[in-house]
Amino acid sequence: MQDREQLEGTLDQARCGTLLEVLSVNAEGEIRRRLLDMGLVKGSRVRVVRKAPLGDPVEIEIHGFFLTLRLKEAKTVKVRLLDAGPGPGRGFHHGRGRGRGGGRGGRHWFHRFSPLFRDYL
Amino acid sequence: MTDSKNIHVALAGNPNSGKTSLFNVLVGSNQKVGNFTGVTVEKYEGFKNYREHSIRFTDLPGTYSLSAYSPEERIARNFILTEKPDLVIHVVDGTNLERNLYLTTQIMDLDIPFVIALNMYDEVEEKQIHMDINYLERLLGAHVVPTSATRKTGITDLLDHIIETHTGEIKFRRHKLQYSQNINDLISGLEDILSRARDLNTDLPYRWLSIKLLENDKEAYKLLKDHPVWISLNQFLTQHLEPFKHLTRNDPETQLTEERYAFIRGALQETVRYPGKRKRDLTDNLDAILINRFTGLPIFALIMYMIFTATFRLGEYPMIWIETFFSWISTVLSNFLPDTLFRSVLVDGIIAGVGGVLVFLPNILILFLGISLLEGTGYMARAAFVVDKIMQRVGLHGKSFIPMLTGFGCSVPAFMATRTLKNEADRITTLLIIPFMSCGAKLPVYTLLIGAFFTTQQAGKVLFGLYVFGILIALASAALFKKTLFRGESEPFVMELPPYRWPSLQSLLLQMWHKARLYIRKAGTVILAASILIWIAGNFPKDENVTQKMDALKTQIREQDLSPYETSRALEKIKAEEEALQFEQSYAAQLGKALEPAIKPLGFDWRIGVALVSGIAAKEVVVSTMGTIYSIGNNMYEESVSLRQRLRNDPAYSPAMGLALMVFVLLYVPCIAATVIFHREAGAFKWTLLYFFYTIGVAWIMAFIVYRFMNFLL
Repeated sequence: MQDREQLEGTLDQARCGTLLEVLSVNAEGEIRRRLLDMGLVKGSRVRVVRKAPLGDPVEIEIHGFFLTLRLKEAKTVKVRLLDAGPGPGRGFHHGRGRGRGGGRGGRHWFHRFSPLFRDYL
Repeated sequence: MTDSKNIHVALAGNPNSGKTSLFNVLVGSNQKVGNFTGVTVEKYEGFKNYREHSIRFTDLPGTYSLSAYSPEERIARNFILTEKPDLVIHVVDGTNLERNLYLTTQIMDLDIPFVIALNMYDEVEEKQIHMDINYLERLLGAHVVPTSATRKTGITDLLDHIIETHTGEIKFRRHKLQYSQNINDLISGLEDILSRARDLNTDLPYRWLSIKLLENDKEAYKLLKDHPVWISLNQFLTQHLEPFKHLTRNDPETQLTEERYAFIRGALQETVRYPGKRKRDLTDNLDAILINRFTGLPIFALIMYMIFTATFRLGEYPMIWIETFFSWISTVLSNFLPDTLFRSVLVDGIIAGVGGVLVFLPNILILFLGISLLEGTGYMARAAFVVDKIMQRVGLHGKSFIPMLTGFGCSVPAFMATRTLKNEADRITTLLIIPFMSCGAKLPVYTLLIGAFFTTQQAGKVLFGLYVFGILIALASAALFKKTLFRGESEPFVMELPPYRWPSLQSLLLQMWHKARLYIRKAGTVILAASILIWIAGNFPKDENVTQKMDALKTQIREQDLSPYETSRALEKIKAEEEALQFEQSYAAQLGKALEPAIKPLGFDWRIGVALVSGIAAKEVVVSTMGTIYSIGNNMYEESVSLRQRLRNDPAYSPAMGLALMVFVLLYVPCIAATVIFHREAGAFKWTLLYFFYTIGVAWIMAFIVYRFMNFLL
């Protein structure tokens, strides 16, 4: 049972493998136009595929194709969690950095010690 | 030529939709490349005769949308609206209709005749995607022709459509995309005002203009803002926007986009059936290896290394052949022609100049084969994805990496490689910092100076330090330009990672051919002219006194009773002496001498000044010029001392000055060939001026700091 706060967030915080629904885009100007043009509109479904080797940008799957955007831009996209994907955690990272997120209580000891593997494999 | 037999067709579509491959299949090699007016976006045009008609095709730049933000989008839409091609072929990737049809909705708004080429239809069939094409045609109001550029299917069908639309056998249905009531009211309200306005000096469709106004389109605003009609438009907008926002809890721009995507979703639900869940395909599997967290960077480094090595190591062989060929011609001509000014012009001016132009060709061809491969397969976008974090720090795009890396080999292909950057600010910034990536021709200068002033133990460190220093200056400059000149103009990094595909050999070869032709035709002539001018500067004016004196010496030697070997050696020495003396009062040397006050603070004397001036012809010339100058005043019978030794023994020179000179050579303006290419790629005179003064300015300041600092230390 997840409360509302944990169901909603911004795209940059989403963990890899999660399935999300776009709620709104809060960027301005050209960035907004680009994001809208690429199909980041209300109701679109987004799957977070992976992050680049250095942690930024992020790759997502949307409307049947792969799109990459920087975390800075992803931060402007408000999303709702539909499916947290396989493994533990609740879909969003909290706080700064790539942290362990909601991995506490872990379902598997391996994941408790290796948040990185969950994110990148 | 009757007008009705000439048809003009424009190809529009998403990047990676196979638009260019289709263009190549349609026209074959009967195509030419130029620029769209005023911008450095390549314009491909091709011709085809079919069923007694002559069809001219224009390949528009690939775009996802027709907003006014990127130059590609502005070109595509302005071309369609102002050049008014008879027909637009809208190329659509059949395997990714959802995103591709978004552009279709915008083309529908333009209210122009268009035919959809449903490309990559072979892949659609392979993936067992079922499409009701008839229904799709009715929904979109345009004919849909399944094609495959790789299998060359559907091409005649497409050509038939072009002819039949032209002759009127096929009627374009002028189908309007219907938006929701709220939006429609706004659109028709604006359309109404526009249609009632007098002398509205535009033939753009009013409905389209209205939609663009609602989308906050800069160009639409600019067009209407100064017209009297703007008062009524503005009144209408202020009156109706607030209620609209209140009612829909949305702004018109977002609402329009959402409705376009809703229309697409609806249309696809009616017409397309996918076979169950999407399976993992080649792209998923390759990406899992090529860009994953652990192997992504090493694989990237490996691929970059391979391209760099291929371009410059493999390119070395044909370069040597070209050089050998031209020096062979020179020798042959020198042997046949009498020693006159004409021979000198021909051999040292023209032939050396042509050779100097062609010698870059192998590099350019190999590099662009590599770049075309990276772009064609889809790895280029991944490369940008992998290194973007690093480039982001200095405000550059991930794609700037390849031109910068190429700069270590040679600036000429590096400047040309900036074409992969679509954003003007990113491209100009990358162009401006490439000169600081130490190019291959500077290495002989370092070798000479390090050998003269540093020990063997220090050599490696100094050389490495120079390269790193160049990179640091480049990155700092990029950050500087991005914070001042191009503040906030960066292209948003929102980029498709296209599916991996194998590019056709035809398009690879055509790409190489276009690059080679462009280089030789547009740049080659200017480079040739510039090298001849530089040759003149180095050889004129001639001092008659010197000539006479040397001629006297020559006859004197010939009259002496020496062995043939001794005679020829003595004559050679005199000739070298003569060349040096003549050079000393040539225009180039005069300029170098005139520069002495400016470079004195760096510890350089006039001889260095002359060498630096001649280095603008080509960087390795710095070494040969220094060789010429320092040979002046040698007794002809004295044992020849190496240039390195001579520099070391000269009391005026020190390691501090040597290091300052290397820093100066590292940073100052690249050779004339590179400068010509820079000017062509940057496209505006102001950038070339900035490039010239910025590189020289930075070189002077850094050399000054290094010289003073080293003197302080030692």
